Amino acid sequence: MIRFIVRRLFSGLLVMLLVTVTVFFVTRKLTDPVRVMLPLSATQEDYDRLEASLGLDKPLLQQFRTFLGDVVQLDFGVSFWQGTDALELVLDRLPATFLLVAASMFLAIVVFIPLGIAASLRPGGWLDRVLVSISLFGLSMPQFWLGAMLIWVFSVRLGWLPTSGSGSTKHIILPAVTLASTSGGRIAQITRSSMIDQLNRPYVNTLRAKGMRPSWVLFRHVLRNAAVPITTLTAYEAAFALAGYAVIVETVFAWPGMGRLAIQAVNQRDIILLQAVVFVAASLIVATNILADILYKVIDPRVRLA
Amino acid sequence: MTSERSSDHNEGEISMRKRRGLLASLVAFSLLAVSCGGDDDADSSGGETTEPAADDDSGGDSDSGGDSDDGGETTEPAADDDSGGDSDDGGETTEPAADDDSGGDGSMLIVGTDAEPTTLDIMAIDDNGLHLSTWSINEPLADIALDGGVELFLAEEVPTIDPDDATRWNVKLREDVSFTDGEPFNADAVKANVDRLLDPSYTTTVLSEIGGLIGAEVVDEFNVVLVTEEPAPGLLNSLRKLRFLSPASFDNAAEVPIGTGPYMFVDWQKGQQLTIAANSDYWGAKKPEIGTIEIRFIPDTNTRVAAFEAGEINILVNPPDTQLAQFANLVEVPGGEVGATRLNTSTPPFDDVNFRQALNFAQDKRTLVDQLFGGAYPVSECQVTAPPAFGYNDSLTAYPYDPAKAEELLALVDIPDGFVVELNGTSAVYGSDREIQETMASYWRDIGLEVNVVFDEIDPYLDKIFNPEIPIVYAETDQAFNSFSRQIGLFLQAGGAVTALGEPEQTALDALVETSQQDPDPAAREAAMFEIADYACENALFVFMFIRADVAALDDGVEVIPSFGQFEKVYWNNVTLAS
Repeated sequence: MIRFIVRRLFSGLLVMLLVTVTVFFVTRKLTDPVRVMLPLSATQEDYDRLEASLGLDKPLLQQFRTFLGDVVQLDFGVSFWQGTDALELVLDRLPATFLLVAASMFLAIVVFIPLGIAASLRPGGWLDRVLVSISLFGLSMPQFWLGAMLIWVFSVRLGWLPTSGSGSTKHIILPAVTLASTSGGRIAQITRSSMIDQLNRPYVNTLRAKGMRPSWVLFRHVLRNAAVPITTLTAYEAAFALAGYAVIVETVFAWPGMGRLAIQAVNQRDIILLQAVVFVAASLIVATNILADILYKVIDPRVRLA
Repeated sequence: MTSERSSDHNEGEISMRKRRGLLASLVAFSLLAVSCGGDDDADSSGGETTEPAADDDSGGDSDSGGDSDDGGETTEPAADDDSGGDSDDGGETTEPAADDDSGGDGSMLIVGTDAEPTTLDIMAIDDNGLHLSTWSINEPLADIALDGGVELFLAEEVPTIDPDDATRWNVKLREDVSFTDGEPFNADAVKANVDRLLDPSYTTTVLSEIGGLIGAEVVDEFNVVLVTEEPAPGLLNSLRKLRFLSPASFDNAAEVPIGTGPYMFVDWQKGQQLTIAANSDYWGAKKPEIGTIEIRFIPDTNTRVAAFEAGEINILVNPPDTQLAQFANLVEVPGGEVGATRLNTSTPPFDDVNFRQALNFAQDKRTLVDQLFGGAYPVSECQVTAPPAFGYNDSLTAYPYDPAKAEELLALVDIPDGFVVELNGTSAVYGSDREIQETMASYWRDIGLEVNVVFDEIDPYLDKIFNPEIPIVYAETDQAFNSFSRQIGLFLQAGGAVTALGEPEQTALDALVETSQQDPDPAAREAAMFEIADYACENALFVFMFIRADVAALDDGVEVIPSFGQFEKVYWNNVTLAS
């Protein structure tokens, strides 16, 4: 297991390095942050002065050498717009994103896995049909639209919950529900199909024939065997929520997380901040995948981790 | 067998307990990690919070000073003997002030805006999000008044050009004004701020907005000379961008701004909100009436509107311009941007004035504004300046919508076979820009032209706007004079984005542009700008569209006297809550 984790960490580091280098060259080739920062009427002298103060006047390869030397020390530089260490800015926002994703995954797991299990017991029954409908709704509804509708109903019309921001439990409810809608839909569907697959296996009939209690059969055997794909998907959803979906939800609900910072960096062409955001996002995805692999082994010791 | 099975079963049970224990540990660790990241505290979650290092509101009072009539009209900050307002340090959050009719001490106003500042150092970045928070903290020598004239702040009199050297501006400062940290505002403070701005190691985008400033010289405690590289008569209008921080606060200016203004910084919860409080020792005659102002950052427009409708905010900054009709109480800011498509006269058929005029006659600007913006904006009267900006020529009138006339003019033009008007437009650079440009294209198609619209994001757009090889580009001009005059030069002078007029027209136009930028006599500058506007209109050097005024939606009981140009440049002591 240790050897496996070390191998995965090493390959994860390579992935993160590759991503970081790619972002470095792509952002410098495709955009000019100096011009975006200056007013339209800026002179060439203004441009040269700002470019020099940001260190962008040096040849690209020289910038890259400096960057590589700094990034191994986790120094991404100072944000162009905020004048603060870029990695520090990202890490300051990370807890808020973790909180949001954790809340949404909690909802997705606590609500949708039991629903998926219940639906699998009577395929084609009314609960199964309800679940499929809810899953499809969650999967197909754009998060920005769902968020806007939830705000309209629960904040504007009913006044039960705040429209945006953070700072209390009430603030997290709508964003977590919005983020959970997509993940939960997929988790429910995979739970259902995985459980149905397991329930049709011969060992289940054997266990029942032995007189084992149905709940024992379901939770100690069937669910454990069905858990591997559910775990895979849940880890996938958590990783993508951290590094992707949360961006939309954070923007809609003005949640002060890493996703909003990423949007800000893109809009402002703050390539230093953007690099730090991408690096942290890649790290989270790598870490989540490793954690998922460890969980496989815990759930099913028969799994061989390559 | 039984004992083996029993033994196997026991080993299996132990192994299972271990796995359960490991799984439980992982879950517990995850929950612990998550719970460490957030709290249920009503005041903060996530984002960094900064507090001022010291809160010493010992700014002094001062007379409002006298006017000077050199260079346009002069106004003082509106005299008002209402001395309400306090220096509430924030802390607890109170309900929106719309529910509290009393105003004065303890009152709170909540503002919802889309743009969060990236720094609180007002001299580092020229950014509307920053201005909303700090325009009332760090004051200038003078600002642009609502009527386009000069409004004095930290300058006792209107700065004047040295008669012997047009690159030197004499500035007499107000006396008995202090920063809120107790430091005096004087000539040394002015020089320290200017030196900082000019320091090559200081990263700033604001310097380019301040008319070629290259230094400041102290004459005595309350007199200073501002020095420009070349004669810059437009410096007066750019002084609003030169704002003063306490020199003792330079090192921490990005987090804790300290100025002389009617409001003081209290707290910044990054990603969430920023709080400022009234400066009870403000020197100006117009005292702040609202105790605390909380500026909430809500980037999504729909969410911001919902917050306004739910009563969570009192002022909605940047409401959606396609839905302005739904707001009962709007404040419109004078001096907006002008939407105009610039044309280049070197490329056939754009070199034919009939073609350019046809493009103007074909546009139904009124209908476009009515349909897209609910009639919220006025049509441009054939110029790229908006009233009451300096140089606005009110003798000009817009090209009327006359497609028949447009077709008649087109018939006089030698249009090459297969010619396509390729309108270089923008995507998400200006509000509803795609819709505006598609509508313009449809009007041109109606008169028989082939039109293709290219939508660019900001980077490729910036390559095109001043590029003379690109014949037609949509733009919205900035009304800040210095930027505007330089933009006019970039458009209209020889080699510029618009013109290849031939002689003697180009030389004459170049001379007019130079006069508008450099003549020390404001009357001469204004006359030159009138002539430029007249020439540009008659020769249809642009397709003039509409004036996009900045607006904000106000809750009942909120009254705002805006500042020139953008709502974000509001002075919060000009905002009141009706009793």
